Amino acid sequence: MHSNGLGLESNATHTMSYVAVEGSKRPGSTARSVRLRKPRIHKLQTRIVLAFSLLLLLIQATSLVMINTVLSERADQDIRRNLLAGQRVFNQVREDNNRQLIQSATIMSSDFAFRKAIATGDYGTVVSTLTNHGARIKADVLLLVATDGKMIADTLPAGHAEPTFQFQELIGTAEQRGQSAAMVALDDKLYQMVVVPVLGPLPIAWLIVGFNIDEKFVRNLQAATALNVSFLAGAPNKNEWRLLASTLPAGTSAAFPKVLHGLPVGEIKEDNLATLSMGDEDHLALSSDMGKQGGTQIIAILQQSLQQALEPLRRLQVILLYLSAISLLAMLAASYKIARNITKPISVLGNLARRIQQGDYSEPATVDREDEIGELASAFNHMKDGLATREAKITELAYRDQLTGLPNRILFHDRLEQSAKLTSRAGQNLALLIINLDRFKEVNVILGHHIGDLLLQEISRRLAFILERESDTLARLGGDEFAVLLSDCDARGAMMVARKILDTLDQPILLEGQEVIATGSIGIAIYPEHGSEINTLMRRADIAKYEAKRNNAGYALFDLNYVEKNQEHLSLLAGLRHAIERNEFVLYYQPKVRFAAGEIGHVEALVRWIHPERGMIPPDQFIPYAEHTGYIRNITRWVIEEAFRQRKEWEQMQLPLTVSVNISARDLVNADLPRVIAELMDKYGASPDWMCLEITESAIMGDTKRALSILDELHDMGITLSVDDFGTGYSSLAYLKKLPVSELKIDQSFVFHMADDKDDATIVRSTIEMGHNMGLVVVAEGIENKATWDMLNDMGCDLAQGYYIGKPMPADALLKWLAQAPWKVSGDWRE
Amino acid sequence: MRNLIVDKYILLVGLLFAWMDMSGAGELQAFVKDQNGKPVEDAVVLATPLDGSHVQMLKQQRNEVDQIDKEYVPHVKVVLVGSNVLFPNKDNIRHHVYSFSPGKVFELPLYSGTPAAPVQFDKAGPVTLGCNIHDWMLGYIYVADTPFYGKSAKDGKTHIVDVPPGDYSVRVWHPDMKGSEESTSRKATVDATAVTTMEWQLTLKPVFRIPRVSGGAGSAY
Repeated sequence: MHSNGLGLESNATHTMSYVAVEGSKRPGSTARSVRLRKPRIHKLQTRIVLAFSLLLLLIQATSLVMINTVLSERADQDIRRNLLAGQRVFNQVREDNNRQLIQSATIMSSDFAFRKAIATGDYGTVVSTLTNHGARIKADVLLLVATDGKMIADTLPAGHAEPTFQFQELIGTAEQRGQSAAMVALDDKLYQMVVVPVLGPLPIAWLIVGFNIDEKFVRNLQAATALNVSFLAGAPNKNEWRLLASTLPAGTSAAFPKVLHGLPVGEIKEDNLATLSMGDEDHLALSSDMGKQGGTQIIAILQQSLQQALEPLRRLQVILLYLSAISLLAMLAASYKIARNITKPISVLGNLARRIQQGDYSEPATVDREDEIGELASAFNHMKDGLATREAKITELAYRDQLTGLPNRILFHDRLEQSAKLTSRAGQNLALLIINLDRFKEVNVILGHHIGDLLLQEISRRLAFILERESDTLARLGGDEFAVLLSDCDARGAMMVARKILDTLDQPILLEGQEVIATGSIGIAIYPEHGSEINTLMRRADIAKYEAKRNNAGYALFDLNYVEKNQEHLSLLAGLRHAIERNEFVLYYQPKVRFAAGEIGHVEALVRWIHPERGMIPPDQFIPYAEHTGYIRNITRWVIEEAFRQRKEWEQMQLPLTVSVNISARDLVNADLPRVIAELMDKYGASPDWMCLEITESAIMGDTKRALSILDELHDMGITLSVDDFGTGYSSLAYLKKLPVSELKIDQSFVFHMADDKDDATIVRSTIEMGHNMGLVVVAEGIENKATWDMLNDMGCDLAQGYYIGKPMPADALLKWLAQAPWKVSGDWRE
Repeated sequence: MRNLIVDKYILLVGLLFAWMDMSGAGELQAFVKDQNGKPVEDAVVLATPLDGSHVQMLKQQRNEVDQIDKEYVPHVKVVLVGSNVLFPNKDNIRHHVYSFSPGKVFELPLYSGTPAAPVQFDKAGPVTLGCNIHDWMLGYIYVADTPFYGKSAKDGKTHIVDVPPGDYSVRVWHPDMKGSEESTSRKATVDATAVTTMEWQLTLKPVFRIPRVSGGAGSAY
């Protein structure tokens, strides 16, 4: 897995940005989901409640209508039954009443003295008896009629009595039956009249007893029948009626003549009840024929108010309505509860979903049910757990370095920030160490990424071992860069730790049979002394690290001077872009001597920047920067052209020196390089042997395949290629064999000390031997004294370069130097 | 049977008359029917001599109207003017015989057995008898102003014997008759040898009578 490069970092960044995007989306999406969710729950609940309630309403309406219909029919029947029953009672009451009246009258008529008085024509006695007995039986009218129909005596007011009894039919009936009873209208009053004979022992007179049917009487009838009772009189067959007595209020009963007019009253019977509209109410009525006396028809109307009769029904309807309303309410409550029962868990799940959206995985949905909703809740919980696990993993990916398991840059930054806060509060110091492994890239390239990964893991283990305190944080910032956060630690402590780190790195690491020695550079910055802002602190630790690297010091504590230096450097580099235009670059040439012939046939062209203000600036001050920014290409092109131009000058001066030019790694990824060189060769009419290109090992190792193809192309053009700084990299000889090079340049670090250091001498010797074996010309640079010169000469080295021979110098200085040099210039030393 | 006994007395009276004046006795035979032609019982036929000759009034020795089983027996009793009538109570309960009739108003307040004094009827015409205890009890005493009278039997026939020949005004009375007694008056001649036959058709009116109260055996009333 490729995980130690930038890939991870970008991956982590991607993850972070994903999270950030999620976060930034949150308000909007919350608003949207709220807008969607709330009405839906609401609606579902309402829909359930509505559905239930409508159903119940429908059922209730139907049953109410049915009940109403049945009850109305029933009420109608009840009224009819009431009327008929009332009529029966009415008749019964009347019969009983008549019987009583007859009995009373009979008792009165049987009185011997009374009879005797009548029989003997003692009318004074008769009248007083009538009055006395009449009062005793509470009769309103008493008449005594002779057998021939003549009035004998009466209790009527004076002048009201007819000489002949008006109601002869009554006497006729009494003659046949011994008694008779009837209702009669007399002086606009209604009377119940009974006729009994006065026996002596044959009827000697007729006693007629009349009881006024007054309001009290009809009230009693009403009480007995539970009906309104009215008595009316009228001429038969005319249907014109006048009211005699009624239980109805006067206002209502006054309507009788009108409502009965034209109505066949005799037909208002059992099967043909009449509906009378009287007053504000409708009445159901039937009539009873009370007989016709003295040419006057008497009828009784029994009636019941429909409204009153229907009152119980009304009450029942009201009760039913109340019950309906109550049951509707109950249904509403129940369906609301049911709906809530359904929707509540849904909203619980909705809340859970919202919490999940906000990244809160702590609480599970507590829907303790075994139904579908319970299953849904359980599925939700599973989903939540899955999300939580995945998010934890994503967080892990985002904040942890996958290869080493250490916190990554983001997490380290966070911790640093937190620790900084705590530190300022406690008034303490905090140390930040940034550790960069030297030349780790080469390990990756030469030994493979796999070994590189193992190396990083082993280093992280070692670093972790050193940092024993919980409060210290070790992180991998990316690639070969580690960082250490030491809380409550000053510069001294930090440097101690830095030394420990360097020591532990110094221990050889055995990886799959390969021994690797890792070295590193450590930059130290102290908080808050070197920066109270985290980014500043990090940058300054970085600066310190570069300083350490540059000085090969192992570690360096940040110093403000670095910043100044750095800033100077930066402004210097800013001017680099214009150096070519302003013609600030100059080529210096260092001569190379051929041991065997003692001739000079080669020079190495070295670029120098003559800054208008600062004077000459050494290459190591700007070349790394130029390489970093890619500007090196322009410089290389300028150098090559300048070299060709100079060579052409020398050509014209009959000075056939081969000029070596350094090619950087950046140039080797530029496919245009061969074309550019070819064009320049054209321009200056150069032959391939004018120039030799020096390439460092590491330059080739970057993008081996492309570099090789470019080198091949250059080789094919006939240009000599040389491996520069040989011995510093990890390049093996086998690897070297693949390269189309014809020259090997031993790194000067070996040459410097070879006179004193046997090992270095051995390396140089074997390198020369090996180079020769491979058919390569071997060059030694950095020769500073005669001893070295002699040793190399002995070892059979081909070419010598160094201050012992001559330092790099401008072209005109070279010419002067050549003129007085102990070595002659060889036109073609190869031959 | 009791009627027969009473008739025997009447017959006996007739026989006495016949025996006292054997020569020249006539007989009057009357038949009374109602408006439907049915024979009318208890119709009293009375023959009054037109010449106004004095007929010797023979006082009846014994006249009785019994009360048997809460009925007057006989229902119609004819007596001569001035006769005394006894009202023996043959029931084991008390009766209260009364009359409001113009001919004779009297009452015999509650009694049992035979009252001590008889009641004298000295005014001609019908007398209606009632009982104040038992309203249905109805009886008639016809006080005749002539000794020549008879009462129709069930067959509607009346035989008046030992009637001295001569011209008579003959009339009929019945309790239920419509119209007056006088309107039935008719002239008839009785001779010694032949039976004079007469016939009346009366219009009877329905008479309301108080129905008997069936007291049952041993009842106090």
